[in-house]
Amino acid sequence: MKTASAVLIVAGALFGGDPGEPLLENRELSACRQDPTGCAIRSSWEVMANPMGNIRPSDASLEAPEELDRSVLGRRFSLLESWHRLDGAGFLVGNELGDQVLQEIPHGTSPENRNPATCVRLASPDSLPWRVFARLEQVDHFSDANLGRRVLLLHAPSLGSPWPHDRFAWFGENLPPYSLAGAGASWMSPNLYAQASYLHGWLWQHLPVSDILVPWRANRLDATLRWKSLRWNHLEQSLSRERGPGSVETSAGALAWTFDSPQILEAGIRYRTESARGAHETSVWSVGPWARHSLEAGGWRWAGFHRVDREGHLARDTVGWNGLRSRTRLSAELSAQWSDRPDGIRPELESALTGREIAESATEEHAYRIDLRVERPLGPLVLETSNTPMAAISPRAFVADSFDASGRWGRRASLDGILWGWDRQASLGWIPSEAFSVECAVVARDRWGDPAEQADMTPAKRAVSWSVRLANNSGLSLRTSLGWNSGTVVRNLSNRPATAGRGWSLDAWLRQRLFDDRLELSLTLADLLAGNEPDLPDGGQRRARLLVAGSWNL
Amino acid sequence: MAVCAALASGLAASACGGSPRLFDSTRIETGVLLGIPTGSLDGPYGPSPAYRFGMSTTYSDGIHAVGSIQYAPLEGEVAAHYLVAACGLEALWPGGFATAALLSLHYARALEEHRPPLQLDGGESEFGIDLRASWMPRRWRKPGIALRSTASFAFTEPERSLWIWSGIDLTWEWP
Repeated sequence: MKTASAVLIVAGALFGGDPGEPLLENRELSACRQDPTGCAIRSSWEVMANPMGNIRPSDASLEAPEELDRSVLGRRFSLLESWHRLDGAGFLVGNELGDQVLQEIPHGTSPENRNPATCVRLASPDSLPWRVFARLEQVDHFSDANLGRRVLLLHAPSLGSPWPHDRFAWFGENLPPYSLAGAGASWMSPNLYAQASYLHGWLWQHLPVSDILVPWRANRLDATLRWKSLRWNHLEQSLSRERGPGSVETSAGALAWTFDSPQILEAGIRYRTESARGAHETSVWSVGPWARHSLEAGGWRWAGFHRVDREGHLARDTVGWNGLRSRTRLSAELSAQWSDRPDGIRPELESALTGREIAESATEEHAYRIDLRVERPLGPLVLETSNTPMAAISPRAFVADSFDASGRWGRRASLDGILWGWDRQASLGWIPSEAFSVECAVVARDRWGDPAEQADMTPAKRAVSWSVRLANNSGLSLRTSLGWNSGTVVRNLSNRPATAGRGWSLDAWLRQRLFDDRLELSLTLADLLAGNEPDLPDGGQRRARLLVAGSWNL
Repeated sequence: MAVCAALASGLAASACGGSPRLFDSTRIETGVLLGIPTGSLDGPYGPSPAYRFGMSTTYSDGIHAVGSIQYAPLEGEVAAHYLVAACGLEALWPGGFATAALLSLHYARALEEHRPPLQLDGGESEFGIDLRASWMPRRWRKPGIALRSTASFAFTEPERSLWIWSGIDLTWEWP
């Protein structure tokens, strides 16, 4: 049974219908799940999606070196994700509900525009040695909060110009936070795989530490070469600030040797050079070994990722066991992460761009987590509970010296003491048939210890959700989810802590599968009870949204 | 039975005695409608003609999947292109009557730029719901006709928008 914390992970609904069963992919809009800083698209809807709050995700996600290159100055952008997942064809169009359209004429132009999101992906079948793929992604949701500043920085684009470079977007005139398009090709033989792709577009970023809004024109060239067990990824990326001084050039890659085994066992070397020009010029480089593994035997699993280089080190390991005892599924997992640069932020580059001293602590951060789960079916009922105690020693937080119109000024510091956490969840599912099911869940999260009141974010303490699913035998299914959660506290984005996202939320998903599930159409109504109010410092209004998506598996 | 097995993995299956599937029967439709704006829209706009192209296909017993695209050149206070794309399900009733609920996407764009600029100058879109009633005389199918009336809501602010579109479609159905 899916743990029904849908109220907290509605982020999955954006590019897919059901959070548990994504349509295109289960993705967030931006980097907001880690921290609202660094996101041009900023809303409580994104922030609430972070169930772990300030404690590092020390689960078994096997972060491969190339995934680190989805970052811009240390903030990961899901729109820069790898091409490898591209499969078949898919589209998504979405809108924040409440545009004026023709109502603008009798009622006058409203300053609050509603904004769209568009995503189109195409890939040829992978049954041939050659494969081509292309995509366009433009996301404009939650972006009204800084539209005025975006216009101030770039001026309103000319409506008459057909050129994307005059509009800073592939289409439209909204100066969208992300507008990226690209294409690529690959060739595969039994021993050799080669892939190259190119991405061009525009993205707006709040710099990770100073929170200054910057418009980037992005060019990104990716290449992968795999010969037998040896793989080489390389990335060339340039970010040029539109209508202003500033650029970041990145050249990065990784060599990997995959051991011939049914288990995952990889090791290699990663390298990166990066230079920034702005107020002054700087460049950084790093090279070092990395390894990742996931070994399983008899219900036991040991997974981890380790790297070390000039920029610092990261070690992440998870040991887990799961098994079935008289129809009761039990699982236990112990995770740990050690790192001196857990954020991956490169303060030297931000210093060069802003001309201000940007400092980040290099104190070792430790994070530990134990996850215990019990799942028990009782006829049509399924009961599940989980307990997750955790601790972080020297967790990171932004410590402000001042806030002013140009940004926030201070340093990324390690907090003294231990941040403790304990998450509990209980859920009950009633699944009388394939056509009907009901789930409800309660969640409690507590954070305490000396750093608790200084952490950048404290997740919602309490949450409850109810979910109903209906399906017919024509491939049509409907799911609704009603949730309540207490507020997520966001500190350090403003002089005073802000509470975001407190209250009720209602989401609905309608999905139609056709042609033996090769065609899937979905309709998502997200956050229908949203009150059209901003609830984060410099955040966009939380708005109800409607998203329509389709995917065709070739 | 081999034919039925082959069909079961794909499209038409009603010939084998099962529920109808997509494309057991398909109809294309094109027609002209007259749209009447309501609420605050009846000030800036009067009744407008629209041109519609649609498609309908079997979905399950007594239900069709339907989709359409409709274009209206609006003349009034601000001349605009107005496009509505919709898809949904249609229930068939005795006597050739049918009712449908469709999800619609409304798009409008002013025909010229304004000073001060309007958001409509760059194009505006919003989702909505169409509720449609039709009557299709059964005796004519190739070609046929359908009389339709649609209440088309868009989830706009500060008021919801409602147009009533009524008109006639020419249809062709096969097999």
